[in-house]
Amino acid sequence: MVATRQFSPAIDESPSIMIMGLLRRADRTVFAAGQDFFYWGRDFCVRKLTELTETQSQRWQRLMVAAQAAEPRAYTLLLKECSSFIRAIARRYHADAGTIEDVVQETLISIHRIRNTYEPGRAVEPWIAAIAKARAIDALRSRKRRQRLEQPVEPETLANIPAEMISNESVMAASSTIEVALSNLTPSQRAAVKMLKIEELSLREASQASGQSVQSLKSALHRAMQALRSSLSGDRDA
Amino acid sequence: MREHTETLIERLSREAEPVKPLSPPMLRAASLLIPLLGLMTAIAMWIGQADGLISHLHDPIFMSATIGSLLTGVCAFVAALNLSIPGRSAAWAWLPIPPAAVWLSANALQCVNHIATIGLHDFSPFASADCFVFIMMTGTAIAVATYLLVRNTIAANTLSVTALIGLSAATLGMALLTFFHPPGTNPVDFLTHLTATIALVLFMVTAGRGALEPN
Repeated sequence: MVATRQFSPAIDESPSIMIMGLLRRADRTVFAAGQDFFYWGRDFCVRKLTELTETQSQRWQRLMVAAQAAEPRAYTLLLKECSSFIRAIARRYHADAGTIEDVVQETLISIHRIRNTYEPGRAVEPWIAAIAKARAIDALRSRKRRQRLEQPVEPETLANIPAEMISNESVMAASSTIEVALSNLTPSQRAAVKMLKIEELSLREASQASGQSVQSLKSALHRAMQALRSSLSGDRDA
Repeated sequence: MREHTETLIERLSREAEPVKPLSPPMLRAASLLIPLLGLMTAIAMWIGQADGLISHLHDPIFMSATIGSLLTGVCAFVAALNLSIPGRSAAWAWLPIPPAAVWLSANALQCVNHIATIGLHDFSPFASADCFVFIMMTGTAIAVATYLLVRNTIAANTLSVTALIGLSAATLGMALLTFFHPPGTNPVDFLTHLTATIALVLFMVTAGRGALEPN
């Protein structure tokens, strides 16, 4: 029978060899850490130099590419910086501050929705400007549509309204009737009326805010309007 | 104004998820057109009457009309895909004009030849009703499929993009019709083809833009 010797490096190695090994390992670790630090420092300097020397166009391109990769800081910076650019475009089409801010917000939502259509390497400004211009024209169209639907009230017509009809009591009575009619709606129908008719959100915005689909919002609003109509006409008949 | 712009920006940044940039429009156009043209060729070869077309390959006017209509469809398709990306030059809308000019002039020449040789007989407005139905059916299928593919990227130029999709679908449908139609065009055919093209363009402009409206 041949005796076999169990080899154990921990027992066989002399302390000096162990210490040398440990030192070598420590040396490697320190060297790797130094190397990492060097690369980090180099990248940091290059990044800072790039940020300092790049033009606004290059900066927006860099931020847009980062935004496509969902880097929240870069995305926030880009949207904040381009807001004033969008505002300047909206001012060419609208004078009202509220409408201008609406155009800015609609443009930001469009940018968010179609940010995948930006092709890296191309300038960002024409891409944003085209979206902003389209949203500004949309706002002009919807204003014209509203103006067509709204009839101007002549001063004589207002003067002919009996005083009791515009008294506080009648206004209070009407508002309480509406409140009762609204309270009879289901919560989802009430939310649809509030968002789409009172706050005048678009279907897409209301859908984003409530988490409901556009179709379910449409049908909730339709049912709510039917219920309100029947409830209010019932009150008037009574 | 519904919420403060700063709040909206923070919300959008919070909700942002990584997105893959869209391929360049030319690449997307090629990846959509190649299968579409392949399918059209397969249909033409399988159930079409290729013999009529082959016997007229030597007729330059007929071939100009056919190739002109096919190229108008392809160019309008490429232009629609380019214009659907915001910030692209509006000059893309002119791309289908040269092949459309070839297609229209070749058809007009065919009509003149037809009147000169046969005269104006059978000038009933419904003589080419089948052509109208064919163009409308194939064109609507192509237009709806194209529209669904680009719908999520259109944020500007909606009028030009939807009109170009309608033009592309109608002219591609017309190119396919060549395989199911006696060779040559008479004035009634030509007017029917034009009416179908205009109808498809108007349909896409009204229905397509209506569907893109946020409300």
